[in-house]
Amino acid sequence: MTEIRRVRRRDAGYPSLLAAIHDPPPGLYLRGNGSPELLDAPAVAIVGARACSAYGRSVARSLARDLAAAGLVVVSGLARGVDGEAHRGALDAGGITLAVLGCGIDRDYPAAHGELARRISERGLVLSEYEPGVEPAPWRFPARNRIIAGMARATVVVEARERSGALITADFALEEGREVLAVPGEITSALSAGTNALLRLGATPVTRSDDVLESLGVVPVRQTVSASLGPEANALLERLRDGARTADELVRLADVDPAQGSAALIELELAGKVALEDGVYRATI
Amino acid sequence: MSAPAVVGGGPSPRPGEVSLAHRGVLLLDELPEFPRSVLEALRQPLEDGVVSVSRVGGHALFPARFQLVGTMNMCPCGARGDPAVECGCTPQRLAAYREKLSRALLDRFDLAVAMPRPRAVELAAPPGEVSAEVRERVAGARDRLRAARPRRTEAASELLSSAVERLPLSGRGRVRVARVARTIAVLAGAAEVEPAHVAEALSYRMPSELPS
Repeated sequence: MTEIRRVRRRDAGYPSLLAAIHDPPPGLYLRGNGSPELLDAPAVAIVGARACSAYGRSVARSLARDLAAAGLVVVSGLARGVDGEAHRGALDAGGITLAVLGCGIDRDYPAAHGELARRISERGLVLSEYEPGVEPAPWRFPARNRIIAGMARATVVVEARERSGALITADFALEEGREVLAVPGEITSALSAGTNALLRLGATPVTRSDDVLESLGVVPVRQTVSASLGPEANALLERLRDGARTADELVRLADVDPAQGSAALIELELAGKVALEDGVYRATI
Repeated sequence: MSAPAVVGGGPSPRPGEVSLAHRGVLLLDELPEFPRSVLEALRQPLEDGVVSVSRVGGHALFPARFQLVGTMNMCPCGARGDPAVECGCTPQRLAAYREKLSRALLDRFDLAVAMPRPRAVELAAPPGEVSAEVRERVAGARDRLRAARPRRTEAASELLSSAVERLPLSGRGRVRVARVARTIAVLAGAAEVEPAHVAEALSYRMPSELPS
């Protein structure tokens, strides 16, 4: 594990946005190779349900990938589900991501995300207001959420049930006058009840990553890798816009040769146009 | 089923299932239902092709060159892998299910194929290629592979490199994909390993990053 550093509230390196909230933590413990100056870089929080759906995972990941590619720092809470995918998306893009813990700085919580924390700290930072040895406890997570919202210019909620932790993060952001965005979901899904409620209250809907960039006044950079896709790839992508499919279904529906179809799917995957999970392909946003 | 019953052993050493499957196929249905000790014991015979058992009374070597086929659901409730259904497993339950299979064991599988629930259209489809024809094709490919190993075209190598860069693929994974691509090329009767062969091989890769 890398050396643990600490920035106190009176230090020059303390993030200015976080200092502006009504109860900023007295200090932050940091670990990772990232410079402490990252704490003051323009950041977006991406948060959501731990037990999220495949849709939530896929949206969190591609959103984080695009925002990190546009030069924003992605902040989240290292939890399972949406949080983890947000960190992974930023890493996919070779971007910077910060993980805020709700336990002592020396702990990887959840333990299953130890490897993810290590990858985050290669270029980014893992941070906590708690000294080494502090156990994770349910009442510390809302406190952690105020730091996530406090560090970011905008908070994006990807999937959230009613009365969930991600909504607490959104509340903190609202109280501090920061931008709150929510990803619309199916109105029948309990996992989207919280996000749809945010939208009803006036949160900005996210239908593409540019929506987030525009709300921050960041000019979207057109991706240079959007090389033209082959005809099979376009045909398959068209089908995927109607919903998630397995490779076999896609090849049959689009009526392409199976060998060419699998080549086209790899082409789409490498171009970041589709995501594969458990044998199911989904179009990314 | 105990580890000795699968790999061989016991007080007076007897061959296990892996030796009974020598030069054949060992099918383990519902892989995560096996005790972890059994699954881990498979690694050595998979690597070496023999099982060695040492006892006070002597030493036994059992041949164990077999093809391992394992099946499993994507998750305990079985909904994952079907785009029409949403999985209801808790993250903890899913993690416990998948942690039964160590990375080291998964690394020894060359092909991973997702088998979605068959749809009515597929069940009604005419039967595919018969086994005798497949056998002939495979035998032909083996002969050709013995004669000459096809090389990757430059474009195929480029595709493999960009896949390693963009997809969660380990160093071992790269070697495996390259090998599978070569087999696909030879089966197709191609003189070189082309990008389409690499692409197909990539579609059989192990999910190296299981979501939690």
